[in-house]
Amino acid sequence: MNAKFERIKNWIALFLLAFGFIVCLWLTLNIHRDLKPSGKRTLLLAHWQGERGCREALDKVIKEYEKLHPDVEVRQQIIVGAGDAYVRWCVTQIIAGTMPDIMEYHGGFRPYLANYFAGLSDYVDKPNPYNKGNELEEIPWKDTFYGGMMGSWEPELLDYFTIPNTLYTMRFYCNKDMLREAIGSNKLPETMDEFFAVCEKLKEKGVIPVVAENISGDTGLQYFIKFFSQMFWTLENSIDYNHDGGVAYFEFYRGFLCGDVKFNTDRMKALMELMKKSSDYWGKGANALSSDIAPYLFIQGKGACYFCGSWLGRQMVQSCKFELGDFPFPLIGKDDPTAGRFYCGPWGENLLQPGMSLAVADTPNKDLAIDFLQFLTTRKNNGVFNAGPCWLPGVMGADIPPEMKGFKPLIRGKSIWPAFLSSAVNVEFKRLLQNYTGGTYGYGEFINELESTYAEYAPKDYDRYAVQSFQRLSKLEELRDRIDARRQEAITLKKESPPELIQQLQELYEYQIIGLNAIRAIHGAAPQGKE
Amino acid sequence: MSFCRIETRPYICLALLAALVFLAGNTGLSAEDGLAKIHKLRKQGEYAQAAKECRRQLERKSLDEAERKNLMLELAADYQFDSQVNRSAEAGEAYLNFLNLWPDDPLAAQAHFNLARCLEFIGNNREHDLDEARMHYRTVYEKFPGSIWADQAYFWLAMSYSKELNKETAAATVERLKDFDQRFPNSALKAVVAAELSEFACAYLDDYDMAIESGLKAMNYGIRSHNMKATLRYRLAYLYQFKKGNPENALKWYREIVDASPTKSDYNYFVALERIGALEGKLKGAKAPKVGESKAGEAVK
Repeated sequence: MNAKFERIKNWIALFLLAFGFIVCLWLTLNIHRDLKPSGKRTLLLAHWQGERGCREALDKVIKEYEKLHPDVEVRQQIIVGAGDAYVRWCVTQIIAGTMPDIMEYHGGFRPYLANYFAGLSDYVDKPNPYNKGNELEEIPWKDTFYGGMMGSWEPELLDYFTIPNTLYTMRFYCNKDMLREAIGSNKLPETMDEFFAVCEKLKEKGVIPVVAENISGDTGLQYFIKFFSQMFWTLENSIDYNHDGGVAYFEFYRGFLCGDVKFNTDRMKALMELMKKSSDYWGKGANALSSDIAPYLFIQGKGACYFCGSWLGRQMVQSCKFELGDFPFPLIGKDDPTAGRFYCGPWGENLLQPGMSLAVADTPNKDLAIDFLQFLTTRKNNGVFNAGPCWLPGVMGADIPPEMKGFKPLIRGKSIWPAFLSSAVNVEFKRLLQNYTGGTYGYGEFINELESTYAEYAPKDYDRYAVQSFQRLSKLEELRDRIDARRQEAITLKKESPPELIQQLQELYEYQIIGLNAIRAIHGAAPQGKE
Repeated sequence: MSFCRIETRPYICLALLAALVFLAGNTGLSAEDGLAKIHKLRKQGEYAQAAKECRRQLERKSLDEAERKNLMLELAADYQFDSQVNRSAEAGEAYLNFLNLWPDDPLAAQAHFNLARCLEFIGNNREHDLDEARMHYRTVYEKFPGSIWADQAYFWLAMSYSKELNKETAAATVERLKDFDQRFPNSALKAVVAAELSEFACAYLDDYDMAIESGLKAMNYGIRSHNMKATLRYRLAYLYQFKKGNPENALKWYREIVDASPTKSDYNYFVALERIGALEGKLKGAKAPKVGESKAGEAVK
């Protein structure tokens, strides 16, 4: 009896397995049927932006495009899970040869750019045809974006590969009802001193002044960078060795080895005091909060302010049941009792990072995909698209969603990246900062550990950097060989070497030299470099 | 029908097989198609496959001398640029094979040059052999002065003296490069060399006159990269203002930064605007506004 029952159980299991398999197969085939073109040319666009409003806004632009081109159908595929999941999906499509025509760019598939994606130089140097009749009509497509698409240029491949659609900036989102109740007015703080006074009053009322996130988010680091940008303009005079207007990682390292720059200074001490004061208002457990939870604490009214990026625009606007406000990170100012004497000037947002950058796959639909991207990035359409998720448009002059007016980039100031934060140092620095703001370390312990951490990790980082640069240079060298081969071919055929080859060779050497200077500076950084 | 008898059939099969092998060896891709295949493989990052294909092609007896030369250089290049494995030693050997067979061929300049690159440090080779590399660089511009590799070889020879940069090595390189534009007046590298001289003079030698002179030359020769141009403009303005006390020329270069800024929203654009204000004020004798006194909160228009 038992044996018979066992057999039946096995059959049931087998039946379930077969049933499951058939259902999966049916679903998969359905997806493929759904993706098959309906007699029209179909463009597939894959991205990971699951933020509220993004899909709908993109659909709006797509509908307009389809009206203009009735024989074309554009479909978007949202791959949930930014980061690893998206990259895995993309790489699978690339390898399988089933790439969508347009893909949101992610650093994870950068190694595939050269072979599977279309270079865009020929297009971005010419005006966008959809700008005909407006002010941007005669401007090259790349110059219609904030920052001139500098973030899209791949120096080692000598080409542009992505088209940006948005920009990100960071502000304090604030619960205006709470602030009003605490300070009795609608005035938002402009200086750190005013900000601390507001935080103090909020704290007295039992409210968490600032919801901070220091686990996967990095409120602490963001504060540090904003303070650094206002207090360390002096670095330009001491360690910008090549006078190019910025301090690179390798220049900081050279300065450190030569003794031109030190960590333990009165300036740094004042900055860290500001950090300590700030962290007193972050509420308990800030160092254990992640960026998944923190925004919800703010939305639920458990904290008065939240320092975050414009990417959460639509979520904040739709979810907050109180009067939502925003204000930029306050300035230290010359009168600040803690750090006023080290204040150099305002922070700025002139190193703008593009967002939702779209790359065009090297598929038969390449030209159509580029045409669609040109349509998407006219001033009007870029405004329509960014209005959905409440983002900042990437195209100059496009309408900024009214809710995001306060997020407009503030460019009249300096944006100074702490040039000692190379990758491994950065990870360690976050840990030290958490220990300092959490009260585990005092200033002395923090600064001593920072100095020894930098001395230990920076050489490793720079070595890694040098190896990567060597690999990049090797690629340039191969390109150089191809150009030389074509020049030689022309000479053998007794022809003039085409001028574009000479230009390409010059450009290639320029990039090679920029890369080489960095490597040499790293390896040659020695005390005898500068007194 | 004796040839179909059972005992003769194995011989017939063997003969057919031999014919097939012969045909397979001689009816493969033409040398031109073969090169296209090799280039395709290399473009896909399949360097080992490309080298294998090269070797296979080289075994063909029907190759003429020109095809053989091309394929030998291709094989060496497949080794040299293999980004997966360090095959610089094999690349070096392949170039040497070429040089042994055709030491005076015009393409020998290419072999000398690439061999020197292998021996130096490009192509994954971290073990330098600088003396030998320098010897090959020298051979290129002395033995083949009219070749397209002569100016490049001269440039890399000079640069090989500044592997580790400090005052002495930078000075050695500068010494070799300062007459580059006279030696190679039509070189594509003229502007790059001038820009590099400006960088060395400024960052390692504190020779601001040379930094300015070379920077101006580089701009006149026509730098193409946006980044390098921006760097040179800023350097010239900075040096004129802070090292040479020449506000008129500093103003000229700050104005160039402002005019050349494509988006009017980059970092140096605003630094330049502020410094123009300060310098104009100074030139008019008015109290100059200090850098950093601008009000925060001015947003992108």
